[in-house]
Formats: sequence, structure tokens, C-alpha cells
Amino acid sequence: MSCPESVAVLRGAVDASMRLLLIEDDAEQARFALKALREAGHAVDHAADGREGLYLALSEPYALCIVDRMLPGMDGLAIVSALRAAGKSTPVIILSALGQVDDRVRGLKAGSDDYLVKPYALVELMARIDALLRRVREQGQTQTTLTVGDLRLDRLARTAYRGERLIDLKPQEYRLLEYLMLHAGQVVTRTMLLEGVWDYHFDPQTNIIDVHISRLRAKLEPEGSTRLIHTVRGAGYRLGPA
Amino acid sequence: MTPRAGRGLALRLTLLNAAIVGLALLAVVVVMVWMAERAMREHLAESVAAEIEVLVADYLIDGLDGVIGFIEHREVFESPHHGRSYRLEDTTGRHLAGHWPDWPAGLSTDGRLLRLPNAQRQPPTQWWIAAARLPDGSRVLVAFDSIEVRSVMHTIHRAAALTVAASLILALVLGMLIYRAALAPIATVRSVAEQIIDGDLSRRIPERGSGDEFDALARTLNRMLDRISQLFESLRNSTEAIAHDLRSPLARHRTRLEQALLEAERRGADADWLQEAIAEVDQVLGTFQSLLQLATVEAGAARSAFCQVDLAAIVEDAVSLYDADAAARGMRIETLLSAPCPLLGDRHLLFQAVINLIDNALKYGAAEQCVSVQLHCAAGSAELRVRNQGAGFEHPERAFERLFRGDTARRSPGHGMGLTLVRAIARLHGGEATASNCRDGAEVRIRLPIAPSA
Repeated sequence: MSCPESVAVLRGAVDASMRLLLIEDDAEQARFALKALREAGHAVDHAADGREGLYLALSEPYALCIVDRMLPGMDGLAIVSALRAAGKSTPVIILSALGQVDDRVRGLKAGSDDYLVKPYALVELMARIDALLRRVREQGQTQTTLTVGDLRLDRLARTAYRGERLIDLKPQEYRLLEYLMLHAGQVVTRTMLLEGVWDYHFDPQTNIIDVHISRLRAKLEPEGSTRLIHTVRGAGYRLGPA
Repeated sequence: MTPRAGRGLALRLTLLNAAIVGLALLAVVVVMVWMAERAMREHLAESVAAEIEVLVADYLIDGLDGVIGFIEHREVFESPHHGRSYRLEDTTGRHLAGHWPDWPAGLSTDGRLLRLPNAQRQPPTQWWIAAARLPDGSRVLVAFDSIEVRSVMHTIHRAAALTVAASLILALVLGMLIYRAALAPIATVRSVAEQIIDGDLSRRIPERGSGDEFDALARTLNRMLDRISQLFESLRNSTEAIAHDLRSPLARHRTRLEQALLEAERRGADADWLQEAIAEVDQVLGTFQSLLQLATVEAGAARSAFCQVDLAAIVEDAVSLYDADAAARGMRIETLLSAPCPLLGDRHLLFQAVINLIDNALKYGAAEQCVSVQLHCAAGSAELRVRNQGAGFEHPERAFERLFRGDTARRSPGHGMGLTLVRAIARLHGGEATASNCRDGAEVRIRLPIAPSA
């Protein structure tokens, strides 16, 4: 039996336009999502059924598609498979009411890049869209040094410096910081951290990630220094100089 | 589990059957042997008497010389199954013919039978002796060795023993075959039941089309299973429908609150109550999520996505995730892992189970104490023990009930689904979870079978 790894391999081709496509049949859900996405500065098209959605996805150069798993006319996974079969490598986030791991595996196998369980928090969707767009944008260029403000991460030596001061990090803390720095300036949710740093998909439902963040904070931000890790209420964290 | 039902019963029935057949046959054979022996002994006694009569008759025809000739002629014949001896003496006791040495005391010439031991045979036999007086006053004795009876009886005994033994073996072998064939449907019923217990409610007992009692039983059981799966299905549908129907409006509600929060923050207004509202909605959504997850784990669908995982690595990851949390509570997590521990399973669900156990142990453990996580990985099964030091379970036997929370637990966050999910995950992997109180705290054990790697 093949056991696919959780993080799907990203395909190339980034379209210059940052138009997104939302394929979602629930009118109310779609309305909220569209409103939030547009407020966040994205140009979004909407298709309410599977066939129309696939037609749009095949004919227009979208930067990213958000596809509901269960649609009238066509299954969400079938749309992804059809897109991939047609040679389109547009990144896809699947939205599904089926939150189980095997469904997730099936979704990633079909060629989607991320998988979000309904009902989702809008911030979670936004954070994942940003992360995915960024991953696609930066694909192929592995930076050996990451810098945020006066924080510097040497990915070859696996060391971190704040200004001139070496920060002593445990391997897990290093991975956490690396993930945050790779997504610098973006909101990163707790679930994303669990998936990205620990590589497990599950709903923590506890403050377990917060404890790790506060430990990392204590090391990064000694008394008197500026904040780097910001808590985004109701969503997660954002790493940035301000 | 191998379906072995019926083998014990088949064995018992076979043994009972063989015992009955054996005892009946033994009784018949004993009676037959006893009667045969009696007949043989009568026959020997009559032979001795007849021989005497022949000798007397011979004297009347051929005189004393005839008798002497007859005796000599008779004594020439020798055989291991025969023994015959004669003595002819005149009125003075002078020996005239035959090998018999001395006239035995107590032997009368009226034809009454005298039995004397014959120590020359091993084991000893008897001489059956009768005597007669001839008309000239001389007397003659005839002694037959009872070896004749014994050698025939020996043959009869052997034949009887062989018959009994052969019948017993036949009864055992045929009985085993017949009973096993007859009870085979029970093993089928059991293996189907096991598969159903493992979560495959669609399985049915195959009918053999013979229309016998087992087919009737299979039909009845299948109808019962249909009914159960209908009930199960409707329960699951309604759980899912409730969770789903309530979840969607709640999710929309959460979205509205989220947008209101964003709005409020933009205006710089105080939005703590919005935060609290979102947190409460999240709590309810979490319960629904747990219920739905439990339903799907119990349905067993994830089994199709099982692959080789290392339980030791999963436990290590879980401990590393919780190390910081334990330290923040002033507690420690002690681990004793036998690594690697490869088994067939779902990595994420196993992780969830371990997380739930560690989370519980920390949450309900006494401050400043330690939580011990032990993994023993032996041939055939892995055992994970998570133990804390503290008050223990109020009701260890109810620990796995869904939505059940002890009085202490009610005061801390959670929705009483953690251990329920742990057990469902253990069962999904063909294992079991047990909860108990130990000397100074609570302990939960998960035992998982390790399938030989494919």
C-alpha cells in the first residue's frame, strides 16, 4: 500500500494575475467567503456548480482554485483530477464536510494541494490561501538565509540570530521558527503549525501550540526587545517586525 | 482471531459417541467371549469322557493289546496346542502303556473328572483327567491338557480386542469428520460475527441452500443483522444530520462573529465579548467535530488507508509536543519506549489517541508530579501505558463512555470525548483500551496487535 506524504508536491506555473476561483454551491457560505476574500484584496470568481466551475478553471488563468468536495453536477475531486489531466497545475484547496484522514489522503492523491474541513474559520482559509500562493511564488528558490527585521535564520547551519545574539534553539523550536519565518507577514493558524511543523493532521482543541509559541517567544524576545511573534486574535500567529 | 467455534463441541461429541459405541461393543464381546469359553470347556470335558468310552470300546473289540496300540498311536501326535497323556496299568498297578507317570491319588474309575495342575506349561495349565476300569480289572486314565481351551480362547480374545479397537478408531475418526462437517456452519457464523464486531456491518452469513436447520438459523440471524444495521444506519444518519445541520448554521454564525470582530478591531472598539462568543461557538463546534470523528472511526472506514507506521516515533512526537506544556504546569513526562514499534495503522489517528491520553494525564495529574509514558513492543502486540499521579478516576469503568465526565473533570475544559475516541481508535486497530486506578493515580493502557509486516 502506498502511503502518500501529507504535503503535496507543488506544481509550477504561476499566473501573473492573482485571480481566484471559488467553486461552492452553498449560497450563504459562498457569499461570506467571497466577501472576506474580496476584503482581503483578492479578485474572486464564483461558480455554483461543478461543470461551470471546471469550465472556468480550464479556460481562465487562475492563481488558485477553492473547490467544494460535494457539488451538484460534478464531484470536487473529479474537477481536480480533470484539471490535472488537462495539464493545468493551478493550486487547489479542497473544502470538505468529510474531515477524515482517508478523505484527506484521497483529496491530496487526486491532485489537490491543501484540504480544509468544513465548517472552517475564514481566517484559516485566508491563511492557507496566502501560504499556498506564497509557496507557489517561491517555488524552486530555496533560500538558505531567512531574515525578518533583525532576526536571521541560517538554514544550512540551522542557527538563528537576533541581531548579533545567537539564539539557542531546540530542533523542534528551530522547525517552528523556520515555518513562521517562511510565512513571515502572514497569519499562520494553529492547525497549519501542527501540519507544517509536526506533520500530523488533527484538531488540537487545546492550547498546546500556544505553549510552544510562548517558549519560542521567551527566547526570541528578551526583556526590552521588540515583539516579533504577534498573536492574531481568533486566528493564530503572525511573524513580523511590527 | 481464527474462527474455531465448534471444534471443541465436535471433539466432545466425537468422544461421547466413541465411548457409547465402545462400551456397547465391549459388553457384547464380553458376553460372547464368556459363552465361547464355557462352550470350549464343556467340549473338553466331553472329549475326555468320549476318549475313555473309545478305549473301553476298543478293549471289547481288540482286547488289551488293542488298547495298548491305541494309546501308543495317540501319544505319537504332538502339538503345541494339544496335550494328551494316558496310563494303562494292570490290577497290581504295573504300568502297561502311556506316558503318565503315577496313578493320581483321588482319581476314581467312575468317569468323574479330576483336574490337576500342569506346571510344565508356562503359565501353568490343568490336566483334565478321567479314568475307567476295563473288564479284566486293569484300569486306564486319559488326561487332556486344558491348553486346548486356552489356545482357542487366546485367538478369540485377540479377535475381540482387535474388533473393539478397530470400532473405536472408526467411531473416533468418522465421528470427528461428521461432527466437524455438521458444525462447520457455526464456525462460519462466528467468523462473520467477528467481522461485524470489527465494524463491517454489511457482512451476512452465507446460506448453503440445503434448507436445513443451519440455513434457517442463518436466515434468522441475517434478518436480525439487517434490522441492526438499519437501526445503526438511522442512528448514524441522525447523529450526522444533527451534527451537520447544527454545524452549518453555527459555522455561519461564527463567520458573522469573525467579521464583526474584524470590523470592531478596525474601528478600535472593545471586542472581548466577540472573542468570548467565538470561543464558545468553537467549543460547541469542537464537540460536534468529536462526535462526527468518533462516528467515522467507529464505522471503520479509515482501515482502508492503514499503512506501516512506527508507534514509538508517534509516541515520541506526541511527548515532544507536550513537553513544553508539562513544564509549564511544573510537571514532567517520563518515557520508556521500546523502539522501533512498527505496526499497521493510521498515523494521525494513533497520534490523536496518544495526545488525548497525555493531555488527560497532565490535566488531571497533581501539580509537581510526573506523567509516565511506557511503550512495550513485544512479538504480536504493543502496549502503551500512560499513568499519572493524582486523584485517579472517579469511575474507571465509565471512563470510556461518550460525553461522560467525572465531577472533577467538569471543572476543566473538554467535552468528555477524549477517552471515548481513544478506545474507538484502539478498536479500529483491532486492539483495546482499559482504564484503571493504580496506587497513586490513574492509568490507561492501550493494547494493539502487531500484524506481521506485509
